[in-house]
Amino acid sequence: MTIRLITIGGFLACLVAIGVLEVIAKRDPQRLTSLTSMVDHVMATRSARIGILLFWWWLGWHFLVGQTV
Amino acid sequence: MAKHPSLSSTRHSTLLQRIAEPWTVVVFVTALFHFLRGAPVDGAFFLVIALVLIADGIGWVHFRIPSVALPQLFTVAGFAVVLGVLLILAPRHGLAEGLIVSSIGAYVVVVAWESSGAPSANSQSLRNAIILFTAVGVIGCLIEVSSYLLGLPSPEAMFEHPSISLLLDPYVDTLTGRIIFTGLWLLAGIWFLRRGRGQGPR
Repeated sequence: MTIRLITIGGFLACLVAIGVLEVIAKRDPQRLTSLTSMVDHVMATRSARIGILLFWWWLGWHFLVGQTV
Repeated sequence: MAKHPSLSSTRHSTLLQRIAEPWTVVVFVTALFHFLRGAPVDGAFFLVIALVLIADGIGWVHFRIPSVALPQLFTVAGFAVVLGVLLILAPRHGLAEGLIVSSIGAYVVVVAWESSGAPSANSQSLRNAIILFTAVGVIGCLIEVSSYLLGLPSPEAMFEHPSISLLLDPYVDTLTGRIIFTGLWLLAGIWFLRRGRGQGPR
């Protein structure tokens, strides 16, 4: 059970880290670009645009259509 | 006349860069992982897209997809609400669900193939953001992959090392969870699509 909680904690920590980075970016844009601006920059290339949208689309496919578990 | 060696090596490295664009590599590696975990359909999705991106990057094949403008946000939101209701009402893992999600995927590829967005100036703050956000993403992926591998031996091990799918699946099976997941998924899709088209709010 402890290992399970650590694993879940790891996933949640990643979410929190993204939130913290976003707050830092809003407070000090000279030091860190926000997630939104970074995504704008990255998605200017076709491979990133199609790749990122593929990951997003696959999540929908995985949970709604495919046998998830 | 013999080609200058440095010219040839530059052309070589450019070709390699096009083949090994970071996101193409990520998509290709994900395809391999899906095949490894025994999900050939998922692997095929990623492999086909990886091959299309490689062929397009090298210039072997020019996929001429007519540029389709993304409709106004109000129109997109209206379609998303209709599709969202259908996705919630249709039986999970059913044919209707498959057709709707597949249609969304096909539309998204067509709309996202061309873009009016341009990369912003490469600043130190942007480099910091790419490094830090990527690091968080990679750590998340490593936890997911290690959980999957450590959970393989037995159902008990799977319980101790849950993947994101195992954690979320029971919630998506409930009506409330399905509404929340579908809503967030569609919202994220609109957000990515608008960012990719350079139409997001600045």
